[in-house]
Amino acid sequence: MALRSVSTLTETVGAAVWRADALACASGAVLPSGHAELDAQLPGGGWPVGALCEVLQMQPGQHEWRLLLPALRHLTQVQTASVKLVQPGHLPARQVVLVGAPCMPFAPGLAGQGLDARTLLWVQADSLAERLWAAEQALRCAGVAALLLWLADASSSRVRADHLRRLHLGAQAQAKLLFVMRPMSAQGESSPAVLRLWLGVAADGLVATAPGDALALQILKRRGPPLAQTLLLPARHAALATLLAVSAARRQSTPEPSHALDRTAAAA
Amino acid sequence: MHWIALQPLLDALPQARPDDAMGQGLADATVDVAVLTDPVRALGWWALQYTPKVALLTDAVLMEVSGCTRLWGGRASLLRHIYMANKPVARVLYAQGTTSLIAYARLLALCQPPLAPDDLPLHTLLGAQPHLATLARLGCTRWGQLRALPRGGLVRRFGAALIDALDQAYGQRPDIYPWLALPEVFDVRLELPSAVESASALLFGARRLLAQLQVWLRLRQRGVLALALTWQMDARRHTAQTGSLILRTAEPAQDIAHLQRLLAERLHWTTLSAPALWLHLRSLETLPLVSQSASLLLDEQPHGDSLAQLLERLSARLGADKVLRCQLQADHRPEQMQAWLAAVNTSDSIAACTCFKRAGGQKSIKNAVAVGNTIDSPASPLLPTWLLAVPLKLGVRQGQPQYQGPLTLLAGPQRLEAGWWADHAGASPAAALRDYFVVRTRSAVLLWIFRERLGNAAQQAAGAWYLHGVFA
Repeated sequence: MALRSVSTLTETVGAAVWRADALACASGAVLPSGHAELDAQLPGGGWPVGALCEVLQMQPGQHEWRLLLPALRHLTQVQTASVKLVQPGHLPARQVVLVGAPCMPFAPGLAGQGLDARTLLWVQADSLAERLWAAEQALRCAGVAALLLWLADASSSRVRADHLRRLHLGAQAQAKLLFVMRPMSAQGESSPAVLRLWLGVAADGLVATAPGDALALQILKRRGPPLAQTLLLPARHAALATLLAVSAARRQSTPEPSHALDRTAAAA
Repeated sequence: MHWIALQPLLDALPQARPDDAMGQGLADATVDVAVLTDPVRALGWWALQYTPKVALLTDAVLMEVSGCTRLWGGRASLLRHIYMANKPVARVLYAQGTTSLIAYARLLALCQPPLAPDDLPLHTLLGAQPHLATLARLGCTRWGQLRALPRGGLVRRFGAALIDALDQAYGQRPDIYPWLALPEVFDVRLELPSAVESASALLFGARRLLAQLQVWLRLRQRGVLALALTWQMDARRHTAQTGSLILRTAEPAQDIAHLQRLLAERLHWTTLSAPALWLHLRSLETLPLVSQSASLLLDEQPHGDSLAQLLERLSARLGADKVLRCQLQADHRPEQMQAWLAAVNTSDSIAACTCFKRAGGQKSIKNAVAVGNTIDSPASPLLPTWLLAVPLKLGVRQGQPQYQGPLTLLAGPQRLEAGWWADHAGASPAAALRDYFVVRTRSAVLLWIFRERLGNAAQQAAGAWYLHGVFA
């Protein structure tokens, strides 16, 4: 009897009620992440646009481009298709802003994976306050499509939940894609992020199902039931994986000298 | 002839509803009056949109409207425009009359309904001001009473100026004024109320100048591209007498909030060598402002600031060399494939930059200029996504490079021999003779390392290993 009334209730209210054992419907727009396995586990089937996403890593700058580039490429390609009057010298209307990147972004490499170099804006800011300020300003700008913020090594003053909440509200007000890269130690802290990911790598041999290295992804927080298993994504994009496979095959076919690096350098 | 006198109200008064056709009243508008440096002049500039005959009389604006009544569709319609439209100063007192002095006297008398000229109090006649006490003792307090006195006796007793003023007030002499014109260049000085010690405190004075500038820009329908703010300092010290600062924006701006924010950042980095006494704001470059059409669709309207504003604001606080934008270059050396340039200078056109001086050879210059950075760019998916600005020298153990443990070779070598044309004496980067390898660390991160290749085989063993990029 009680069950029947619950089922009729869910029929009448429909999608307005989120059942805790199912993935939530995305409240806002989503952007496909470009990884099918990941999309299946994200509410709405993609990165939430206009919300804070946290990516936790052991070391900043190791795998985030592999994770985020497909979505960013999609974002910039959509923009170039929709904006007709882009003159060659002019800036694209929608920018990808990098705040506090751990290293110098290498635009030829990023452009090789489809991210137009002209959409990149690199903001160097050392202190935490400067990074947060710059991020907040960028979120307010109409010409910015996505913001990548690294808060990993700015640990001299701690990142507080209200800092993140400000960013979240900023992204929400202007519907921006916002990713914040944070260290693993932030896992225990509370955060207003709607999506928290742990990003690491599953080395070759550790995982039986995937030969070679794989990107290991744990969803720590999402609008839906917790996900126990680790998602495995290909760790290299197709062109690089092909290059590695070809050179591995070539090395196996030739006899192995004692110092591989010395040999290749001398033979070349 | 029909004259209107307007006076900005500096102190708050209970607000009266403006009358429709005749008489005095109050009207509102947009900018806070206390912010403007010269509210009367700003109001005069505003009044120029109705008639070219606008004059300033001490603390009031006089406009002669009989010549332009027909253009505005009759006097009632013109008056409605003048009284209802937004004025540059918040609250305005106004009165009208057939001559300028009657309008001005009614403004001062502020009586409802407006007094007839003969009943106007004598203190409202400017020419009679020096003789008010004597005239009062004669029992003469109204214009009409003064006019009834014999003219010959008045001239002998008070001089010709009084009788001339009276004639002008009654329209028997022409009203002649130097007409106000909207200046081509905004150039306003402001005396600071007290000596200002810190540069940040100059912002309060500068804000008043900017508000005045905004009125000028709106009326000229222009946006400002470059401004010069100069301050004059105390002459007693043995330091520079003036300091100045030039503010530039990429887009012609009428939005004072943005200019103010930029100015605040610039002043924050400025130190005053002596207390400042005067401020002086001058417009250096302005452009006609092209306003954007509004859209009826809600989604079409862009939200937030423009990109140029963001770049300027970030550059103003963090420094122009911290906000960077990428220029791809046709070169084979990784460190030369891209140039990160200050974004504020390149936001118009990234192709027009100085980096081509460094790009090697005529061909690459031609390519880069012709195509910007789309075709013939060095983009490749086999390049790393992070690059170390300065290659990191790796330790070597048993002839093998080490980085967080031993490295496993995955691919390579990729031979690079470029830049031999660079002159070794100059600042341009030297030739690169390298073999690049893709290696994997123990923590499964792919690195891009290279080994310097020296001249002969004997030196080759000594070539050092460097980490240059990370595949992330």
